[in-house]
Amino acid sequence: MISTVNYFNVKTCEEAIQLAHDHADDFCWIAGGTDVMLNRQQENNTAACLIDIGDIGELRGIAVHDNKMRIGSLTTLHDVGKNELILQGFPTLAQAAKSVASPLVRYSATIGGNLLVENRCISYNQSEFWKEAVNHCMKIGGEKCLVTGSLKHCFSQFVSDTAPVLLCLNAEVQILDKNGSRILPLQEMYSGVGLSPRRLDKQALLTDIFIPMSKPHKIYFRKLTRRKAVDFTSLTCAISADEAKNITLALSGVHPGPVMLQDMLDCDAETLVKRALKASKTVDNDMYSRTYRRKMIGVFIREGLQMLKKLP
Amino acid sequence: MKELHLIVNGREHRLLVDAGATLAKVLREKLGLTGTKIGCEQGSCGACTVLADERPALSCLTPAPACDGQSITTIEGVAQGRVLHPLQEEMVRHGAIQCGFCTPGMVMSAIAFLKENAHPTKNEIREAISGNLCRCTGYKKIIAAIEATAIRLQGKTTVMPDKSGNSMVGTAQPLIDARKKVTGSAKFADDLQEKDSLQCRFLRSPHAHARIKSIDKSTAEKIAGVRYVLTGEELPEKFGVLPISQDQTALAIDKVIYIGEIVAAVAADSMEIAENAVRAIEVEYELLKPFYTIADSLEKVGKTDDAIHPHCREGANIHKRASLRFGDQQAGLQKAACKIERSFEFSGVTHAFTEPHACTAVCDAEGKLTLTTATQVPHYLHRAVAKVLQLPLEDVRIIKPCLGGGFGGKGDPFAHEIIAAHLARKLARPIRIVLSREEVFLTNHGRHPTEMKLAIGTDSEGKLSVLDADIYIDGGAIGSFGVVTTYYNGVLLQAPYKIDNIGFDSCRVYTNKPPCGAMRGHGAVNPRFAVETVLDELAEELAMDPCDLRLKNFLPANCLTVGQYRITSNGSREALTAVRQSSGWDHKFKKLPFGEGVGVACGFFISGSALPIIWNKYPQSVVHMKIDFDGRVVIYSGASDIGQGSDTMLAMIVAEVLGIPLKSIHVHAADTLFTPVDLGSYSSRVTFMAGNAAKMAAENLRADILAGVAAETGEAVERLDLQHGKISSKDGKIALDWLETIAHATANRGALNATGYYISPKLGGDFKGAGAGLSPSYSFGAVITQVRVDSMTGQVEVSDIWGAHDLGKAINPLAAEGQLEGSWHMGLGQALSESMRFDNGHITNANFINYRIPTSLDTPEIHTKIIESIDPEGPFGAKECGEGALHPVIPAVANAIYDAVGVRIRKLPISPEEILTGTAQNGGVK
Repeated sequence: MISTVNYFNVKTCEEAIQLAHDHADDFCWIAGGTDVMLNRQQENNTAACLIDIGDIGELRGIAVHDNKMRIGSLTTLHDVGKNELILQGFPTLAQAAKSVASPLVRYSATIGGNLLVENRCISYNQSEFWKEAVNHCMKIGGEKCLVTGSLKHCFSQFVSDTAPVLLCLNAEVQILDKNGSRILPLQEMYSGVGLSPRRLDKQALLTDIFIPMSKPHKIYFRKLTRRKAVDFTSLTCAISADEAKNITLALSGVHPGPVMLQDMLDCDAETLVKRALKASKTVDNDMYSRTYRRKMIGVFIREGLQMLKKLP
Repeated sequence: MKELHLIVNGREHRLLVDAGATLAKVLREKLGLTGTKIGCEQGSCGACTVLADERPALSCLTPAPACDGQSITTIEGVAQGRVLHPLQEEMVRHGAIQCGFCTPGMVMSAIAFLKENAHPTKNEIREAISGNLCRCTGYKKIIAAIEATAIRLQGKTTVMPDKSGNSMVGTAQPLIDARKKVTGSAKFADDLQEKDSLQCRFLRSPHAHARIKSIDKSTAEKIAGVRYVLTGEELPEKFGVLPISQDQTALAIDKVIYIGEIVAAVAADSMEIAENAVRAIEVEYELLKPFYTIADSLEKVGKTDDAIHPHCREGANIHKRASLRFGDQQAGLQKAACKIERSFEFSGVTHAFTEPHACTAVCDAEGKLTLTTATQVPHYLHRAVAKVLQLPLEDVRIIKPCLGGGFGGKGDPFAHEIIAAHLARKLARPIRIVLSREEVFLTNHGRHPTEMKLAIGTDSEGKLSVLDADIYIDGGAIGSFGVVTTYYNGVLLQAPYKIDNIGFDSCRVYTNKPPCGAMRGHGAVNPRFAVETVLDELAEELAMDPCDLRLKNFLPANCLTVGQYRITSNGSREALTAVRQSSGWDHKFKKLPFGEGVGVACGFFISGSALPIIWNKYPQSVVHMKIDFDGRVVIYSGASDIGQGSDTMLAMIVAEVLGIPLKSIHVHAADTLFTPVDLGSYSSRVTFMAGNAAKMAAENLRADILAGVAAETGEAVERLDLQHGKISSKDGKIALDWLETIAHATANRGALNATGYYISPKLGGDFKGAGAGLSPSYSFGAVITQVRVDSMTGQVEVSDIWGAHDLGKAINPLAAEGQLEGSWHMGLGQALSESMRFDNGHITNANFINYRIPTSLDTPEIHTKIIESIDPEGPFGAKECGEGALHPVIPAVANAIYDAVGVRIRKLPISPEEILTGTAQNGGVK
């Protein structure tokens, strides 16, 4: 049981960044809370101080300017899922948002939180009682990965469902820290490293998501879960094709970060599947087996390519 | 600490809360608003849903400080005084409420949803409540209630079947506690909040099998606010639900035998202090060789190793063997014209009721103990507590409050209950215990993991001639109901089909895992799956329609099975015929495109065990009734309403006999100080046994009322008629309303009492094992499902369930349908998504995120058909409907998958991987 020493509700980004600076040694951002609180319940997150950015109004909202759609990072998945601009411009993004967890989670969970969702693993997402009994895996201070025995690598999996679609849409993210604001391609935010999956300074804030309106005109999305609600993904796949028939493939659920590949629509599907499999360090840390999920990577990619080719 | 300003249901609160507190905890513990439930602690069940500034919020994942300044609406704020919100009314009316634990969250979700979408489709409703898990209803009636509310809010009216009329039995009645449940005022075990109570937390074993070398509790004891640290030696007396399986102590003594076994208990001023103290206890263990699987436990225990229990048999970790043989199966199989032998494997599954175990123990100044607890078996718990605490039986009182689902999982006396009772006596302070969701999984008592071989033979016409089964079940670390389970796995193969040459060997092993016990459909679910899938294969081999094969082999009504079960009413044929018709089976079977299919299966179950667990001459159920000057009839019954509606059933039976409305009846149930013994809610016995006892008590009361009126008026009893709450004489000279009737009946003697009881008739043969599975009556049923299989992913989607169940007579059709729909829904979980997964004795999915009970989106259209065969001995002809419906649904799904893609399923849960392997072996997609 973690005792939180401090809980701050902030109203502005400046206030947030200042507080983060003041509590740099042991704090965590919290917004929708659905991921942070779950990890606190499991004692993966034991920060003594929580800085609640949920009330920063400027980080909410969806609008189009300069041929870019801007989605405030605190926009809830519920709102993303039903927003008219998104439904018209990027219906697949709405579909991805609506595929996350359950309607109840999506009322609170934010799109920023979904992009920053903590990696998951069968030996990490357990109670402290459980983890202590097996001597904690490396992601929570132990020596090795309990799934593979590796002393070097953590294979916790990246489970965002909106990230693959946003990657396919060439989204950028705006990051704010005490040095100011910068914009970077979404894929650069991810390290692909299980222990520290995000290349972000701990005190930085993800403030905005930008999607170019020169959108790829076709996009495929599919998610593998046993149930139609609640479950975390075992594989999320998005493939986009632009007018020049360039395709972007993005996967989550099968690797410590998103897997992203570029190719052409008329590429050899099997070669693309092989490339995707090679790029995915999938291990047996999920409710579905590694073998099955890898098989499904192939199934989804083939199906996606076929669908994209058929679309006008 | 953090200062918090909240407006809750319109009322302002300024509170000082722990900065890490969740909104759910603040609402429940600080504000006493216990209508908001905590089911999973992880936002995966939705029971904690409230509205924060009108948006739904999972209050167990919402930090309280995040709500500063917000307006919160909880379930307590939904109704306007006593006027229910239209949705609440529709939930009550539609029978959408069983145990009621998910209800508050469900109501909050649906209210928010209907505000956003005033004209929802059924699928949108399914989607909207997909984050609210319900384990009782199968969602059907909840969806119907939300649909009806939407229509009402549009200003239209909906029509429900007319409930008026002269008779009560057979009419659809909302549960008598539904209004309490839908408003959040119903008290569940963790809602009591006795003042000045201590919280208790447990240190649990991290090892599957280990000797306890030392326990150092000195640091823990010194923590401020810690009142006591309890360890095993203080409670050495063993207990268990069966007299022959007293193999458990409240806390581990000397060694631990599964991960999660309680090693120490801390009572402290708060949950947090208790938790910290638990972590300060140092235990030194010496690891012993663990036994995790059936194969491990069948092997002889090595000379230097420890068996799990000293009483394990055959030098291995064998708990129990059972065997019965009628005829020569080897010879029978040789002679059979057509025979199939198959092996099967079943994962363990668990009840996954939404309410975690919880209890409060209070010891009064006289030393008398009251334990209010989420139990299905107050009577057995009463005995167990007295035994372990070495108290006179008369010093122990067990109360079952509202209970949030059981399904067998609250059907044993549990260690935490005994610990609470002991600590309450020891410390003279109320003790509160609520288990975390993970602890509920560690407590388990779910369905046994099973491995079995089954052979069935037929003659050339498709008559079943022989059945042989070899069954191994994995009992986990203690006995529980396991001896019964061992028998049930075999003996319950002797119906619903007539097979005269039948035999089985079954064997239960102990393993170092959380205990298994009784779960809905006890002992018969897995072997039923095996039988029904083998029958499907036999039908194919014989080129017969699987429905025809079954129809050809059903036992008739009024017969004896080979093992001398007395079958009385039997609606097998009607049930199968009904689903065959309603599903359009004849147009679908083998006729749907590749990837789609239909499957059929049948089942049966006991309607109460004819033999009590504890051998004595006490009846299986006793009901007392009292009527006094106010005209109110009070029913005292030990029966445990666990959400299935047994209190309502009792009231309806009494209302029927006395001809009075339900509102004149008060049910005081499951309180061992006041209520005479009923053995508990297990083995689907309550309607049959407590119902019969209530009927007898009501008839006795009726006779007494008539006699009193006769004496007072001078009219002969036989000339008096009691109907619709009025007494009249044939000549019309006497016409008394209810209060006048009671005034006459109580004249010169005061309040009337009446007693009724039920004792099962003597049944069965006199061979060893003849008692297993004996029941005064049996239920029968059939299910057809339709599935779609994605041939690329192997994923299965069930689109429809057509189910029919012969329950004798539906005393309350609304509740009966709810039981059937809930059973089919639960079976679907075992078929497709549920499994207790283990890694070296650790459960790896001890939460509602990865233990996957079906959501509303995973539950198909359910088409419910009640078959009424009017049982000769059931109350008004009624028999069980709470368990037997579950059995056929799982094999019906498996058989439908075969029809869809040609792959036989012999392992549960059904895995998409194996379907893909199967289709690949068949030469790929057709």
